[in-house]
Amino acid sequence: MTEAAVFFFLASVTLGSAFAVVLSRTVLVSALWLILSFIGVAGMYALMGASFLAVTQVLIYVGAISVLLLFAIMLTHDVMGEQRPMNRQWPIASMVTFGLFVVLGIVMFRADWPLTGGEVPPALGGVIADASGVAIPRAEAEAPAFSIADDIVADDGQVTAAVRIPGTVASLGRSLMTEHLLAFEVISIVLLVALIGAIVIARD
Amino acid sequence: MIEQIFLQSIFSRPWVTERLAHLVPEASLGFAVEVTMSVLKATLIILIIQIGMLWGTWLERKFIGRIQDRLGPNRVGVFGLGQPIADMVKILTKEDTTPTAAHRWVYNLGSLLIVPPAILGFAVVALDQGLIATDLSVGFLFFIAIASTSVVPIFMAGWGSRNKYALLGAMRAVAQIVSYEIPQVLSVVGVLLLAGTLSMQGLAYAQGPLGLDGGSPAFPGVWFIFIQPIAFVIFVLATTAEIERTPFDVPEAESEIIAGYHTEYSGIKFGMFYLALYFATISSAAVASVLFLGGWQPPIPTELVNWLANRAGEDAGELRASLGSLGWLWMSLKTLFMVLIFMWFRGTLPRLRADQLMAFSWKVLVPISLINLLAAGLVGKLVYTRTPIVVFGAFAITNVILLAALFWLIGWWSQRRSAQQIRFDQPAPVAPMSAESA
Repeated sequence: MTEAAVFFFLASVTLGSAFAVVLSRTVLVSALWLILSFIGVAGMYALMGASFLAVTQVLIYVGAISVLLLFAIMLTHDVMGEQRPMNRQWPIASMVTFGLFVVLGIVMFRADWPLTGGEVPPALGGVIADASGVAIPRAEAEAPAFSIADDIVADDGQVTAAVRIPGTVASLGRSLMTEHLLAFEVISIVLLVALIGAIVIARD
Repeated sequence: MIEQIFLQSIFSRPWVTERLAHLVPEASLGFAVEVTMSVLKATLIILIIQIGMLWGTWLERKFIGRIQDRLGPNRVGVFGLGQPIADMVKILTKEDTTPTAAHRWVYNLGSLLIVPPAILGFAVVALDQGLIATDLSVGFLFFIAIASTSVVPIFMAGWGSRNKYALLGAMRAVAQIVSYEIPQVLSVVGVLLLAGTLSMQGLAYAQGPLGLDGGSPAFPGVWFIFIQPIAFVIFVLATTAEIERTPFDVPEAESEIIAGYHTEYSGIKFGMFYLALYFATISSAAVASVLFLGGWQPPIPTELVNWLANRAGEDAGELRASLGSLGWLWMSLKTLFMVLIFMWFRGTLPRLRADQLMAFSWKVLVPISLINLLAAGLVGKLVYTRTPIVVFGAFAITNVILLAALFWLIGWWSQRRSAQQIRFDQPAPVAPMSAESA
């Protein structure tokens, strides 16, 4: 019940602020609403137990991408002014957006979303070691890292047996370094190229 | 320890459950316990941080006063201890102004939203064994993510004020925070790598004689300041820049842009920025002491405790328990030490220029922290799960080599630079004067 309430709260924050992005008359205020929308999405991730994803969402989207957005707005000439949120290109823009929406909708309804966690990839098989290198049973390692239910103080008021196992971070790291190593390296090279490109452009 | 019994009892589920059982129907007891515990924890943190903030301002003024050969506040109460209260009354009764051209919503929200990021960081700080609001598995990353959101209210304040200086200050602040986040995180990655965890409680366990459940200590068993000193220095510098304390307070440089993004604020709205500065100082100091100074671990080497425990034989558990019972005291002292370091910076160092500031982050801190990370990874792999003394020795050698290379590099670089520039420390060449010109 509580989770449903939190979900609907987060969903209304995300969607409501997304609408406000489109409807706001000032570009910078739109950007601020967009940040609230990002935070709503981060809350969704947290609700689903994906704590790493939630934190990364805040770190990258709120802390970095929206800052770049705000900077871009700052560097345009009419920083303070109010503008009509539409120009002559709105019919084309709305058609493209609607097309994208339809594609996303089809993907969403066609795709086969596994409702349970599915198989644990073989890369994670066996046991996962905790911070001190002691092997711990998988069931413990796979426990959701963000749940409110289990806390650091155990029932007898003492410290729990284990440091909270970095379930999502550890398994994410393992699968990045084993299964998805190629994709990981390719993305690293893409980012490196972008970085060098930016420096070259800035030096000219 | 009465304090410890008090703190651990309000943080323990059975204690709360017992007291709520009479008041709440069985069905909703679990939920009620969750809510009550969350409220208790939040209240405790807010109390700690509020009191810390109020007398933090007193401490800072007193401390900097001493550095500058003054007395500091000494009129209100004994040693001027009542000064923070007088300041608060003054700030609350000042006129609240809003510029007519300001964007009302953004302007007002900016001063409100500056506070939550500064408080939320405290949610993952391990104050003692088992004394932490939420021990997230991504604890440190949470702190960084929350700290990075503070740029948004700064931007709102700067833009909402409709003041050129405020806007300039906001742009400087954002550029600075985004730049210094990188060395701040990179320097800690080495620590996280060695501890093998992001959880703040896990990081504290990794650094001292007290292992989990009174068991054997975790790897590496040494305070990270001893095996990652370069990372510690970089982290402290980058954090000082992150929270915009002097010498990195370029965004509010009063000699250049009045007061930066909070130029237009007065009264309690300005007070919010002041509050956030001290909240961020305290929570950053607490995080730094968990990351590098062992958190609540006693300041006694792991090897010594092991030796004593071996000699004591069966009382090993008791020895560890008695050491662990003072955790809150060690943590407070370490946090106070870090806060004093931040204040010492402010009393000693002059402010950097805006361009020097950015160059320092990108050209000095980022490369050094990358090299340090590489060394930490390599050496850490070699000495993994060895005893604390071996780890410390290996890292001591590595750090001496790194520092020597670093100083050689800095010397070489500054020599090259000064060769290209006019030397101010030597008399300029003067053409010999002839008799006629005189």
